[in-house]
Amino acid sequence: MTSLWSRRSFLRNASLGAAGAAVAAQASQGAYADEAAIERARNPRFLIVLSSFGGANQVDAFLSRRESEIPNAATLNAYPDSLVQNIGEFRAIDLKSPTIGAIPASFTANQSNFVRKHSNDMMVITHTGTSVNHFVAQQRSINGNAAWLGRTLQEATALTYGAGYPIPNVHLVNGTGFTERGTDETMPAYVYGERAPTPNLWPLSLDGYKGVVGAPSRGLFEKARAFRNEQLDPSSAFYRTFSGSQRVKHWTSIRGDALRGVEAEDLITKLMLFPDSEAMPLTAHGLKGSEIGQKVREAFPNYEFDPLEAQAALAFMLLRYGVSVTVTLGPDGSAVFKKGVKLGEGGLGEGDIVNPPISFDFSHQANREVQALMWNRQLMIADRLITLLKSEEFRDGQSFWDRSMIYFATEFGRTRRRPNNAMTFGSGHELNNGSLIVSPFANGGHVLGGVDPDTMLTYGFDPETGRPEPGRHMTEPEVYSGIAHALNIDTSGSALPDMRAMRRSA
Amino acid sequence: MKISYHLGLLSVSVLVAACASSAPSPQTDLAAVESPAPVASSDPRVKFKDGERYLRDLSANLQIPRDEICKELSQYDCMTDAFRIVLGGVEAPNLLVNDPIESAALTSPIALDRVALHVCTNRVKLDQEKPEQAVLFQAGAFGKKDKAKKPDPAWMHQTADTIYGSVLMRTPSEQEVQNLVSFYDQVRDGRAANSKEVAADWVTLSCFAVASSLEAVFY
Amino acid sequence: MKRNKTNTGMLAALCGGVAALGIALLAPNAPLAPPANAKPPAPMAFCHAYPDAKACSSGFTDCATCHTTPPARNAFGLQVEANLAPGLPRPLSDEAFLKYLPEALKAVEDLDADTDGFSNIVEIMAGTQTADATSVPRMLACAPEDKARAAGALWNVCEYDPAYAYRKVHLDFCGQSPSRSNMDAFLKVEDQNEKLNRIGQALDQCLNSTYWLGKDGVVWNMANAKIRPAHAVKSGDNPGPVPLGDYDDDYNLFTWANSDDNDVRDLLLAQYFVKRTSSDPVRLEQVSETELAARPRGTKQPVPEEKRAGMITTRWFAAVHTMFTAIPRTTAAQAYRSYLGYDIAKMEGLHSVSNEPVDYDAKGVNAPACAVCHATLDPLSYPFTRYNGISGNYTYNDKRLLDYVRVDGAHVADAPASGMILGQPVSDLREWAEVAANSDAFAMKVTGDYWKLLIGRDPDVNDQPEFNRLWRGLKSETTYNYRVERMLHDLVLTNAYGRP
Repeated sequence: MTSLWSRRSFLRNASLGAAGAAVAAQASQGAYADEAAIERARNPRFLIVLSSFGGANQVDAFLSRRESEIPNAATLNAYPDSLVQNIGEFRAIDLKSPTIGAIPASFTANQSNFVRKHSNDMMVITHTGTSVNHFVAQQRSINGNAAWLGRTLQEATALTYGAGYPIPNVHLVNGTGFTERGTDETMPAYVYGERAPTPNLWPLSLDGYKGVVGAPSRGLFEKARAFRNEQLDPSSAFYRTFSGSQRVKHWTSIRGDALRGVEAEDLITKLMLFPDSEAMPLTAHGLKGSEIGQKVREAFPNYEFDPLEAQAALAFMLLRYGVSVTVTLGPDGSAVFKKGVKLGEGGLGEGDIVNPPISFDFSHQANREVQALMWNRQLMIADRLITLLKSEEFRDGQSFWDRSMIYFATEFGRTRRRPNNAMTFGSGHELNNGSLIVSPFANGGHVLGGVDPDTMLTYGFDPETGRPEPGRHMTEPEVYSGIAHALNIDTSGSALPDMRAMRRSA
Repeated sequence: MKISYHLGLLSVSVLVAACASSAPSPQTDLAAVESPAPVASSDPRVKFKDGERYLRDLSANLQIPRDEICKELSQYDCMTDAFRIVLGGVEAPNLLVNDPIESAALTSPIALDRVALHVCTNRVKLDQEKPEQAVLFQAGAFGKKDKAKKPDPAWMHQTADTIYGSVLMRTPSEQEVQNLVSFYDQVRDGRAANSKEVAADWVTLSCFAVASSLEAVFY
Repeated sequence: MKRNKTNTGMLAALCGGVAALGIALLAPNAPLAPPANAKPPAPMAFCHAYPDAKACSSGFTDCATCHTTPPARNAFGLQVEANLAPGLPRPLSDEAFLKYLPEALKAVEDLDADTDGFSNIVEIMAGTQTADATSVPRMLACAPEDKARAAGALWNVCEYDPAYAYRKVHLDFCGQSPSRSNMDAFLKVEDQNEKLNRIGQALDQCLNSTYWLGKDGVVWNMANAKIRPAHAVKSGDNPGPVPLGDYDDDYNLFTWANSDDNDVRDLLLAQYFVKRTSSDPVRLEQVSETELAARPRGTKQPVPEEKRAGMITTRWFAAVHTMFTAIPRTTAAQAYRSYLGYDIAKMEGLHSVSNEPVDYDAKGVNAPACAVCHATLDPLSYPFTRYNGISGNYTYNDKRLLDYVRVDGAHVADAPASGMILGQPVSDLREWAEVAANSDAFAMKVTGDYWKLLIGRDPDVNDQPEFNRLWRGLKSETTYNYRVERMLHDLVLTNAYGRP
């Protein structure tokens, strides 16, 4: 059998080449890191789940409709004709508003720029979910309502491509159903999501030694670890008494080669987004910022106060350095204000509210304004991520973006009714919606499905051809299957339907 | 846990006398008695101690205030600010993490090692700065005049006992003491056996090994 | 928590084919799942085959016997499926399913779905999980020679080990191990009763610690999932940018009901609020109505005293769950999940009510696929319909539903204030709370939360006698009489807690 470390070298040197992406083998993955797994790891597809908390509504974006197209436009969420742009098969709404519902906070939101720039990789699919409970619907958006043994899309991606990656599946946003662990407990430990809740300090947990001022040398530290692992613990009465504990077994399994695999890649440096500063005195502690930190910070300049920008920055670095094959990020329920804004001191200025509380779900108060603001935010994050991923070569002239997919996961849509011709109104949760997927692997440039002008509810499409099928509703398992297959995940034996229409190539 | 059921009467009385205060004190009787071979639990329900309890224990027993015992980048509390979630804590209002992680994260053992190393390094540094208040790294490593060619065996035994007493709050077995004593040669690593630096490193790393052992992390 | 779920026959209508069923809280235009997918009698049929199985003491086994998250099957479910009338076209009719299930079960009895070394039939009869390798029948008794050896070891794994429990009590309740001297003093004690007394004394001391009762302490954090705080919308001390409600009220009431000599049913029955007058030592006091009325606008508790029902009518609970909805299903589901342990999204605690759901708010919940859950959930939700969320400023209003006619249609105003919980009719939310607080489910949930915290896992089959004794004792006037601290004194003396 190939030794773990030579396999690791193989992976690093032969597979990922000049991109410098690192892949560290993990002892715990031994059974899985067979030749097929190595081959898959050499040619990964990356899944970025950009969770859209609260109901990112397609008819407020790429499936929006003009009032002139909708018979009952006065009471349905159709937009004034002048606001709706057609760009290829997609629609876009650019909105400038002096308020967000009752909140006097002006903002300018734009969807058209993203569509113009990325329409070739954009695919909008329609679907109808089965729950309007936030948490339940969030879970189903990533597990397809238990479409494949209860595995989430992130876990399925990590299982397929993650063998040998230090931390294949990282959750940068927490506490939502989008990052809830799946129910298939039979997979190796590395498949399940790792929480990285604080992008500035989390990298410190990637090395047990570096930056601890005054400690004995690294070599001696490693001797102490080996002494503990091989001598002190195995002979201890505690271990001999409690070695049957699953918790103890798990702990001992991950503090061996898996741990060394993480540390050997110097991720504490590579993933250190923050530069040396008074708040982050890296140099004084023998640490330094990432080589690509400057580039990433320029892409996400608000990383210090905007959690989503910090998440996105770290997400890019995790992919770029070959640490992960799937990352999940997104806004949570917290409001974010522009840096320096102080409430109660003269009102809010243009763009002061970066993220309304409860994100898309603030549509309960002001549907159009919140949808516009939040879509603008999500698209801006996605655009910058794509730009960064395109700027870095993976191998053989391919960029990281050439191997990536961004799935804008959301719980549900928003109700379509509105008071007579109202521009500002609140909306409820609505099962019927659609999703945006951006990827070179997706059937880009297309809307799959359509919008019923009588109800403004979406309808589905033929899974093979993508032809619109009024009266059909795409299900959660179908969406799951389409995404999984576009990522070239082998779902043999799952009975998942073939959603050929959602892939760019067969 | 029966910590010293098998100590002889003399040992117990010495121990009790030495432990009159709540601060951990090393046992002066160096001949720790072996416990019988353990019986494996048929239904082990050990739990993760979590970062907060872990640091509270070390704070009390290594005599470093809780809010000073472990600081990342010299300013962020290791548990509260840096590793709260990976070390089993929660942060509901902002991070929306309502419950501790069910099983350890891949980074948990790394973070735990880091915390243990911070704490032990910190303690030995303080011991060297104020030898009269030393907790782990006591004077006398190389004899009364500090000129012996190798560490004094009694000093090593006592140090090992102090480390176990401070970190695991129990008397070590003779085997455990010998394990730590023999570890000295590894730490020496080609350096002079009577180097104070080697002795300090040995205390630091012995403390680290015990403080990051399974018994220190689970209960 | 592995426990028997009391239910009507509806549970039987669920597990086999919940496949495409809308689980909970369905809204308009839900897709209609093909009813042919449902295999109504699976849990009951399983128990017909194994009437003596521990999982069948209520007559119905749990969905988890065959499923992970329905419809996904676990390893055992997959084995059964492979042996279930192979060759017959899918989906099977209910009749065919019933006819062939016993054969399929028989065929997989000697297999070992989770490869844990115990055959499926052994696990079924022992009450452990056939698809979970960590759930195995355990032989807890020690051989005589092991008993003697264990008694002298650091951990006595053959019986309750007072020293082990003593240290655990300190760690669990005080957040810190006993000092070495303290531990050594304990070990000097020879009398077993005195050891148990000292454990009790340590517990008493720790139950008053800030680690246990303080802000961000253990009890506080036990309430996180029930309260679901979000700083962004907090009012009161340390407010967020959009202050809607102050969840400190909720945490304080939760801590109060779980401490001292207070009745834990006040989680659902309290008509008062509680404030923290000292953080170290922790002191809690009820807030007078005068003081409550004088609070600033953002922290008022507008529900009148006589209409309050503990944690489920607070301003915060209404703000984050009811929000703007006419029929607050999410609110009812969260109350049911948090205080009775039934997660309707997982099809737990279903007590289907005939002729329900009516669908007063025209959300389409009476579609067959939705009605599976909403026949329970909607009658559970009606008593919440008079309590306002954000719209309506968290007040109680008998005529509240009239405000929703414009959006939800005229019929919404017909939704009653009366409802059903656990199969019992209730006239309003106060009665709802009374039934809930006095139910077995409530006592099991309270006890189970502590069990999981302190033992480190849900009670398994071997734990049932001790677990049952505790939750029944919590209900009994002559045992713990709903006093959590009394129950905890016995919990730390169980073998589950004190046998290493």
